[in-house]
This record gives sequence, structure tokens and C-alpha cells, in this order.
Amino acid sequence: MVEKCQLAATEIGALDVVSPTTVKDTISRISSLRATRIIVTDRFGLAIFDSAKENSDTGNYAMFPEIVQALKNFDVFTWRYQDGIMQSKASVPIISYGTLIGCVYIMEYDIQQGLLMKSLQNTTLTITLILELIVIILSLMFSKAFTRRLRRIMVSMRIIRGGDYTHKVAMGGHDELTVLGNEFNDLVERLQQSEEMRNHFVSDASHELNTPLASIKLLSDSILQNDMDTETIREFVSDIGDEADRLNRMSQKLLSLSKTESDQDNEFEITYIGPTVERVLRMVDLLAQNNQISVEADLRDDCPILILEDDLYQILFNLIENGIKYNTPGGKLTVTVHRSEDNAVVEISDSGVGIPENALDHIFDRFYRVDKARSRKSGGTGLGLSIVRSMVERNGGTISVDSTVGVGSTFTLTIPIFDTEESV
Amino acid sequence: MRKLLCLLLIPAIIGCLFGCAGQNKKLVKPANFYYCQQNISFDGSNDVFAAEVRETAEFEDIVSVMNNYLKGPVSHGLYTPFPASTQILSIEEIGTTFSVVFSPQLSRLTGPDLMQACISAAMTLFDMTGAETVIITAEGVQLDGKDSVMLTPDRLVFTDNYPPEASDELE
Repeated sequence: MVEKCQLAATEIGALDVVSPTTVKDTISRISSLRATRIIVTDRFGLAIFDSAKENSDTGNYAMFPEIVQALKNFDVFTWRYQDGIMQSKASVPIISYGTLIGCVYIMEYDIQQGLLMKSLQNTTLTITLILELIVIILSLMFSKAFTRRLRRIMVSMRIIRGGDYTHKVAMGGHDELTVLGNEFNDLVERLQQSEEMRNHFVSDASHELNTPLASIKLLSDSILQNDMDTETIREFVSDIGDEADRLNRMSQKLLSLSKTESDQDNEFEITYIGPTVERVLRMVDLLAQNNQISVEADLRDDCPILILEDDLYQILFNLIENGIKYNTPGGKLTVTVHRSEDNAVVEISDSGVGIPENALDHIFDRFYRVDKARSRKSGGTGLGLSIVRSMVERNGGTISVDSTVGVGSTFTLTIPIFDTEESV
Repeated sequence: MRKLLCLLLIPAIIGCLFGCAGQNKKLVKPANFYYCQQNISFDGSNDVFAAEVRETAEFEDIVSVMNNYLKGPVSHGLYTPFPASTQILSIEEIGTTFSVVFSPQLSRLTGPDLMQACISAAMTLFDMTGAETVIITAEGVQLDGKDSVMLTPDRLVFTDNYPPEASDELE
């Protein structure tokens, strides 16, 4: 449109005399100038030509915004779409010999284009509504799918709450819910293991506690039902006392183990390994003599560590006592204490019967015994090493065992050194 | 004799005093003062001109009202098209025709700026006084080559409301 205006403005600007007649002739001559309305004004905005046959503004001051701007030497193009009608307007100044002498204004009133715009508007609206509908449907579907998967987890939770720890939730996919499902399955697996361990423990504990009780019952029934001499009765009563002592030891150790595992508020004190080893060795000296075991100690360092002395005593006593009990007469027990970097290392080696390789992984389990007959005979409960491992781990240490059948076993205890000089 | 002379002179003096005073016409109140829009929009929402409603006394000297008008708008977005210190020297009313004589500063304007000034002043007078024709001149000078600018409301068109039914595309 601006080009049309410029064409008309150029033609009019070239006229010698600008009058309504000459302007009309010029406009009529330009065949490409097709528009709804054309107005030509002088430099004051007075319309000297108006193509409108009705309501012509010829002779009026046409102070349209577009004309005023063009008279201030600006090219203007505007368009407006309203109520299905497209209206475009353009105006450019007429320059003659370098002087602004008026302007050409063109208006096009395009109903076809307006209808096209309206149709486009309606199409856009329809597409928007369809898209919104699709989005709503997809949201509902997604929400339903999400809820269904979530419900699956809820159902699994209820099943597991009912006690079925073998149940697994199958989620599928690769999203966060799948991760949640996998985590849930891991949790259930651990719960299942824990439950199995608990059941196993209860079963073992029941069995172990039942054995001395059964012996007591059997011995007491024998005394009551048979005619025995005093010496035999005394022997049976002594056996009953031994079984009662074993029962007592077992319950004491179970309590100790339970306390060790449940006690979260660990207390510490600076304890030296060397003197504690010496104290334990003094205590087991008689037992070693009775079993004909020679005990040697190589205490290269006192090795201060952070642990309650009673705990350390208990750990060392259990390990050293085991080394004597499960040794062969004339055997040897060696206790070595030394530093290795920042750790204190205690090695307790015996020349005993040794532990079979398949039993090595279980010797720290509760109630596990390598040789049950021998263990009972020696007064073992099957809890000593469990207590040792629990105490060592609670104090930040580790315990390992190396054994060869017929040669002997070496228990290695490693606990971080508490260096008082460095700490200060 | 002196008393008789005094009695005759006093009414004559009072009459002269009223004759020397400005024309006090009954004005429409409040009045619309027309100015130019600073930002012209092309979407049909506003025109080149816009009115500002101002209070006027019911019987006030039209020249002082118009000179007050020339001081400019108080509203944002409007500006006065008149050069600074332009004044109206006199307004003569003959029937519904008002002849307005401006000070020579008005002649500084040319082309569309001159017409914007003349039309805004004329529209203010049309609204305020009911005038049907306003003739504008500047004392002792021409206005962009014209002796005067004559304006009537029916010759002023501000928007193109050309109806599509009446459209007749130029072949």
C-alpha cells in the first residue's frame, strides 16, 4: 500500500498545477491504484480529492492521524482487524521540488481478508480447544496410570504388613516410581533377611536353652524313679548343677550380647592393650596349666586405644580362653601386640585343632560351634565369638581369623590407636 | 442645575464603563479545552485531538478564558500546539461567527502544525460558545500565506469512517 501511495505521490508531485481536476486525472491514469478510498490533501490537510462518491470529504479538513503524520513528512502504514473486517491505511507526503505540498492517503477495506482472518481466528480457537481437551485427557490418563502404579506399591505394603516378606512389587519402566519400587523391594529383602535371622536366633536360642533343661529334667527324673546309691545321686546332682551353671552362663552371655548390640550410646576411655593382656593372662594361667598349654606374650607396645577396659578385657579373655580350650595338650598360645600404622594389632595364635575352611565364615554367628560335642564338654555356649565381634565393631575395630586344620588358628584384632600426644 | 447635570452624567458614565468592559458571554461550563495528543494511535482508539475538561465561570470574559486555554493543558499526554507567548488579542462575535485575532506569534506555525493549532482553538470555541464559524487571523501577519483560516464544524473530519457498503473501488 505504501508503494501505491508513493507512486501516486510521485505522479502528483510532478504536476505543474495541483488542482482537484489534475489530481483526479492523475489518479485515474494510474491503473494499478486500486483501493477502497483515496484522499489527496494539500499541506494544510484540506482534501482536494476524495475517491468516495458518497460522503466525500473533498473540501474538508481531513485530520486523520495518518494524514497528520504524513503532512509531518512521515510514511505511515497501519492495519486493523475488527469484527471480521480488515482495514489497512497508508499515507505518504507529496514532495514537489523539495517542498512538502500535501499527502496521499489510501484506505483498503477488505472483507475477504477479514473473513480469512476470522476463519483463521476460529480455526486457532478450535485447535486450541482441541489441544486443551487432549491435554486434559492425557493428564487424566497419566494421573490414572500414576495412581495405579502408586496403588500397586500401597497394595504391596499391605501384603508385607501382613507378614509375606517374599512379596515383590513389579513396577516396570524407568521413572522415579520404578526407583521407588526397587528401593521398596530392597527394603523388603532386608526385612526378610532380618526376620529370617530373628527366627533363626529364636530357634537356636530355644534349642540351646532347651538342651541343659532337658538334661536337668532327665537327671532329676532318674533320681526320682530309680533306686540309686548315694554316690550316684551325688554325681547326678552335680551334673544337674553343671547344667544349671551352663544355663546361667548362656543367659548371661545372651544378655551381654543383646546389651552390646542395642547399646547405641557407646562410652569410651583410654585403655592400654598391653597391661590388659597381662591381666587376662594372669587370669587364665591356671586354666592353661590344667590344659598343659604354654602361653607366650610379645607385647611390643602398650598401644592406647579408645575403649572401655571391661570391654577390651572381655574381648581378649574370650579369644585367649578359646585359644587354650580348643588347643591340644602340650600346645602353645602366643599373644602379640604391635602397631601397624595408625592401628593397634593383637594377634592370638594357638596350635590347636584348627577350624575347617567351610566353618570360617560362620564362627562369629550366634550359637555356631565347629565341634559341638567338644564345645559343650568345654562349657562353650556358642556365643563368645559373636560377643567379641559385636564389641570390636562397636569400638571401630575389625576382627579376622586365619586357620589351618591340625596346625592352629590365629585371630587378628585391629583397633585404631588413640595417640594422646597427637590428640592434644 | 448642577444636580440635574450630575443626574444625567452618572448613568452615562456607568454606561460607558460597561461598554469598555470585555464581552461577557454565557459559557458552557465546564468547558472542553481541545489540545493535541502527544502519542497518536492508529488503531482508532484516539484522534489527533483530545479534550480536557476545565472549569469556567458562567459569565466570564471569553478572551480571558481563551488566553487561559492558550497556557496549555494540565493533563498528561496532551500538549498545546501554540507557540510560547501566543495570545488572543480580541474575539469579535457576529451572529454565530467568531473572529479571533491572535498575536503575531501564531504565524510561526506552518502547514499541519498551523492547522492543528487553529482547529483545536476553533473546536474549543465551538463547544464553549455554540459558534458555527470561526475565522482566525494574526495581527499584522499572514498565516502560512493565508490572510485568515475559516473553520466550520462540518468541514472538520477526524476519523475515516468510510462505510464499506458505500465503497466504490476505483477502477
